[in-house]
Amino acid sequence: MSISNLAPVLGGGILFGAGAALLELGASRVAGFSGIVAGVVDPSTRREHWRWWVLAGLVLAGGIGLSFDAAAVSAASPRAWPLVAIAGLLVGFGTRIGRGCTSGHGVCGVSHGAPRSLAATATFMATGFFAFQLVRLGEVLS
Amino acid sequence: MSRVAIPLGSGLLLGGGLVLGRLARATTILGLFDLDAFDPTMLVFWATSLVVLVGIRRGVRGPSSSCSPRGRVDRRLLAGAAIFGAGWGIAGLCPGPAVIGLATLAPRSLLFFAMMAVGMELGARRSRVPARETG
Repeated sequence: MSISNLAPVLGGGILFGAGAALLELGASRVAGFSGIVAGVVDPSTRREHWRWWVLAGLVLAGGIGLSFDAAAVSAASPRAWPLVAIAGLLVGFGTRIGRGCTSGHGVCGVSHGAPRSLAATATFMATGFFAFQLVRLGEVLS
Repeated sequence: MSRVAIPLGSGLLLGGGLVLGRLARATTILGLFDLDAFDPTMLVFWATSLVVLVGIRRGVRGPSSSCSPRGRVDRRLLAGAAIFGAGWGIAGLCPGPAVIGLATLAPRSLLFFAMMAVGMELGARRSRVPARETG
């Protein structure tokens, strides 16, 4: 990242913080994507419409971004599909067991100084780092 | 109306922020962990969003609004966060960008999202089992 592309990153962070604040102050909801996705997967909470609207906004934002720049949203991951599948399973399972992800724990929880979110964030940053190094090691060896 | 406008507007702001900041690209997240080609984009984005969120909250509710939700740090939380982090570090995708990725209609985006939904269902089932039965 250089100075020339710092502006969109700062602008993106401002929009994200504003979106999280709007959901918290305007609807008393936590902007935690794993909980929002899990809430529409779970039949007992599927009819709570606010989650669907947040998700619609996300997909719409992705579509708008793609219309400006085809590279704005990556088509999944640079990893091979078996790794993508395993990673998806780990992300889904882990976020339910740990009750949150980068948005809910990493941004919203950390912004409150919540001990659980601080601990979760330190943990997923650490295992993310080690998982990346493990994949890289596998690439070097193969 | 606000029952639609607030969550939809939030989703557009959150998603638009991730797309604008290039956080919806898996390569940006993988760059955070890459010691050979380190990319601090995620850290700058994260810090900015935290400052804005805390700033707006204090502006609306007053300076005394900063509360620290209680709750025990337990093994379940840490195990879940560790498992999530492993998947995140492998693919470079977390749930928000996984949803945004659906807009590409790319097979691997759909695969990641579908497997994430399966993982969530498995995780939810495991969470419904009383702790003492799991040992």
